[in-house]
Amino acid sequence: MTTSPTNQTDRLLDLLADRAVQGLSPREAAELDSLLRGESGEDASFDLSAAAANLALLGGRIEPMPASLRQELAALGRDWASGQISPKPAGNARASSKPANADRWKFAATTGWLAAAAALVLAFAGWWMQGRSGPTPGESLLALRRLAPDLVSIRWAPGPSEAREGATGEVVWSPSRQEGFMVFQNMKPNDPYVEQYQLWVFDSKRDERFPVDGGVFNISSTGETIVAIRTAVRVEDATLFAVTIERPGGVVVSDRSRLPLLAQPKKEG
Amino acid sequence: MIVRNATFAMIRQPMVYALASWIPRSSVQRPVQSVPCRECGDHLEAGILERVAIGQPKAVQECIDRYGGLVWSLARRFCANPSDAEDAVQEIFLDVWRSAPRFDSAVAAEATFIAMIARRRLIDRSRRAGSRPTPSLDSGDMGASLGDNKPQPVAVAELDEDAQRAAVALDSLKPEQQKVLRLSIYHGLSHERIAEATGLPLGTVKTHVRRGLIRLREILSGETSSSEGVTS
Repeated sequence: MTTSPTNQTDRLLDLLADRAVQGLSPREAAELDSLLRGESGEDASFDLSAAAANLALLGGRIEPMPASLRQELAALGRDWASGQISPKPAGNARASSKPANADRWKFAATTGWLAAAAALVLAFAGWWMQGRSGPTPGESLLALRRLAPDLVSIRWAPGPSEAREGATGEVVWSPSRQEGFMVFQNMKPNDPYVEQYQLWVFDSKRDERFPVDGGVFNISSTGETIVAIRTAVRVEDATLFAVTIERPGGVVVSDRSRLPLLAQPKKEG
Repeated sequence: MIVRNATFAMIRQPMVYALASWIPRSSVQRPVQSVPCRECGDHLEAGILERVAIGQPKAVQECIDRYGGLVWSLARRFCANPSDAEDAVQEIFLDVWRSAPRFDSAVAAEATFIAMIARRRLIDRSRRAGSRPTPSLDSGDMGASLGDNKPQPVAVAELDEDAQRAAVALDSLKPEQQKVLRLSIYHGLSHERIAEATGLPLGTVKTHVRRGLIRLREILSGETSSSEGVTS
């Protein structure tokens, strides 16, 4: 049985109206996308109407921003205007500091449909969790920029081997909060069944042979990707951030044979 | 039939929104400044968002100065506490600057465009937090809104053209529709909560919201129509 055009139009109007005033569930949003594909594209007319009505109802009740927020926004605006913040919304990725079992990857690769099903479940779970809980890496990075006075930003530079030509971005690190993010643009995506990226943080207070593991991560597209840094131990004085390419699950000690990106903080003085 | 001239495209198909007939704007009340055209070299008048879109640093600060209070006021109504509102305001401005290239002054006023982005972000944040907005109702505001038949008086002189038209459109709705739209748009109540608060069936609430928005859209687009639920 097919849905009549009239019913489809009614449903489309219902979804557009709901989105304008109370938002949609992921399922409803997918349904709206599907219905809009049959039309000429996105339709924001209800959203604009609701916004105009909101302005009318708000009337003169406009409160001035707190002075502290105004200053923070001004700083954010300067970062934006100087190009330090990407003009594109970030994708979401998360590094794991816990290496996965490589055998699992192998097993999954040899059982095709199981892998596909598992991936689907994981993707759904990830998407569902993303929609339900916690900030995205982009939001966390934004908060860190606002909250960490000692934030250090270092641009990626090509490494000595398998350099990712065209890859740009930065490492953002707060020593006091022991939090940071890697931001990538135009980074070559990896096949997690074959290899994964791994971050290493060199600390002047530690033996250079044993940098701190900053987590294993994947790049799924060449668009902007933000990856949270997950260090298992405290980093006292970061002197170098290095991305290596390792086998799936990462390694405990890297042979540093594949080192596509580096970011070195400038020495003071 | 869906009225497509109201379409304002964002996200996937940015070219679709260039349907200037949605709002035949008699006057555009926005600050303008002459900026050089990158291609022809002529000096053109541009609003704040248009100058943000071409990367003019000063315009970013102007955007904050001009619309900061508006975004903050919207955020305060949607967010449970000032800290959440501050985070939301920063996210909204980033969205606004990113979306500036999609702004078309022939389709909507800057304030309307920014309010739309703000509302979307605020509604999204509320949904992610797992709860509907907890509006910061003014003292007696809820009672007044349930009892009043008309929207609160608005300082129309302070509003942009879209908001002035929206005020007229709201005034043209049936009292019950006005009340439902006010609770939905201004107070951020869910359909279910509106049904509880007003005693109206849920289906009626949904119908009022939908028809009210259609009527708003008609008036904002300058269409003439005999939509249901219109008093005049």
